[in-house]
Amino acid sequence: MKIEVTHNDKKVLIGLEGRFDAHEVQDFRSTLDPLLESGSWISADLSEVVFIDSSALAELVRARKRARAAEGEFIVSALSDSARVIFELTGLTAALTTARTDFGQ
Amino acid sequence: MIAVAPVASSEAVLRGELDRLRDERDSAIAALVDTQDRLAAVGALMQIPVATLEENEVIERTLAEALELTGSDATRFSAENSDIVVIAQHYSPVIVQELRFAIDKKSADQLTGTRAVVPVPGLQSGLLIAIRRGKKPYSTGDLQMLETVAAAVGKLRELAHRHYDEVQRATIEREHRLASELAQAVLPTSAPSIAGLDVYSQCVQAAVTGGDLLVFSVVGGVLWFAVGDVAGKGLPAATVMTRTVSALRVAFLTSNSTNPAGAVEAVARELNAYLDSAELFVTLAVGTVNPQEKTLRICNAGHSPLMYRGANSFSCRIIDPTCPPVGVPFGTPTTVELDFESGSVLLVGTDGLAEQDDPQGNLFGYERISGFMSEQDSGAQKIGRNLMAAVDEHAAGMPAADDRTLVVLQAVEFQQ
Repeated sequence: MKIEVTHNDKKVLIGLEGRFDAHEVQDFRSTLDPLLESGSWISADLSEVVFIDSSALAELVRARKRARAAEGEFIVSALSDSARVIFELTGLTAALTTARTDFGQ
Repeated sequence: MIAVAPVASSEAVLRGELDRLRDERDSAIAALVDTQDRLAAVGALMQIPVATLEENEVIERTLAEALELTGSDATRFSAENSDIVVIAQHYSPVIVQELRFAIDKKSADQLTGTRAVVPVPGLQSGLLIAIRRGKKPYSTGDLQMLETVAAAVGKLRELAHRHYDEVQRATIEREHRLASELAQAVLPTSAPSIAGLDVYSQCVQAAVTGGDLLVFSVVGGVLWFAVGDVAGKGLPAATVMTRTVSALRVAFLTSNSTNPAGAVEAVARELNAYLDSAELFVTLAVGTVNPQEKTLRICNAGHSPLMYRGANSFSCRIIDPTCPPVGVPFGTPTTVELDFESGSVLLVGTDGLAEQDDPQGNLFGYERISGFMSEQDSGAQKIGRNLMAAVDEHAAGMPAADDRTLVVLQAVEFQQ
């Protein structure tokens, strides 16, 4: 999976491309953890993800939890069709795409 | 007058020459024997069984061969966290003690002898030290041989270390696999038998356990069932799976069978903190069927596939989740109530079915699964067996990417 990090002012955009499964979790975590610890506002773009499995979903949930523990935020901002289906089947769409309303205030 | 003296002198010269030649022959033989011994020692050095010895034993064996190779009486390997001495065994205890002292003190001064030190390549602060009794110094050839042994020590030590790491890794993997297999013992090995229902159930583990779970319980004539999947794989998933099964069994006994969502909430209360620390979640479909009431009640917490086909219907309905998986505190579990007249079918699987890919990378998919629900005259057993066989056929020899679990419930005429 290709991971692209773009810094935009105080926000960070993480672009993911390819298969996001158990084999890719470690790379994703290594890239994301330093950003999560800094309390950044992180937005993940999954529009180029062709496949996502439950290990990857657990990693996104973990990222959100870690971001909030550091008083930051992590949301999924865009989904490919195949990722959208899995998000809907697991009921995670709202849980991972809704940002805290108090962030940055 | 006959001159005799020159004859005697010639004989003496000849004898002297002969003696010199004998000495040279003996030296040549001794050198040849020495060379043969060294060749044998080099051969022995190459045959040290790295795979069956501990790292220190490998070094000791190499140092022992170095005694032979260099004509030394004591050798020492010194590096960070490692200091090993080998002393020739054919001396008296007093001399052995002298040799040990001399090599420990990094000086041969206490001994009438010589000392050589060479670095071990690729090993910071690694040294190979050798001492020899007597006045014969180490020759250039001896020192070259010591350098060869030093290089061999470094490589053999690294090989032994890698072998040990590999053995450790394999041991841990085997233990993880065994623990995962033991965890599967909590899963039912056969479908329950209950009047008014035909039940198919199957759970096939992948090579690396995927955390699928399956629980049945009949309480007061009502069938409780749950199918779930712990995110992740291996021992962590298997461990969470067993705790989830325990929590579900308790919830089945303590919850109202008309509201499976209550059982999901009970499981969430029991596991949320644990799942939070494990950074995992569990998808769950928990339901009840009362064959007498002909009613199916189900709560879907982020689980798929979950499909229903009513009696006399040709199309199947996907039962969407009303909340995310357990471990993701968002939303509220809700119970869905459906008629379960004779002929109605419920299919609950895990993602290992839909996500099985073929050699070209094409997934089996959810549409193919729903196709097995549309045949009116198919019973639970037939749907289940055909679907599992179709997933196998689709894989065409590709390994199972995840556990595959399937439960098919079909309402049949209730006969008391």
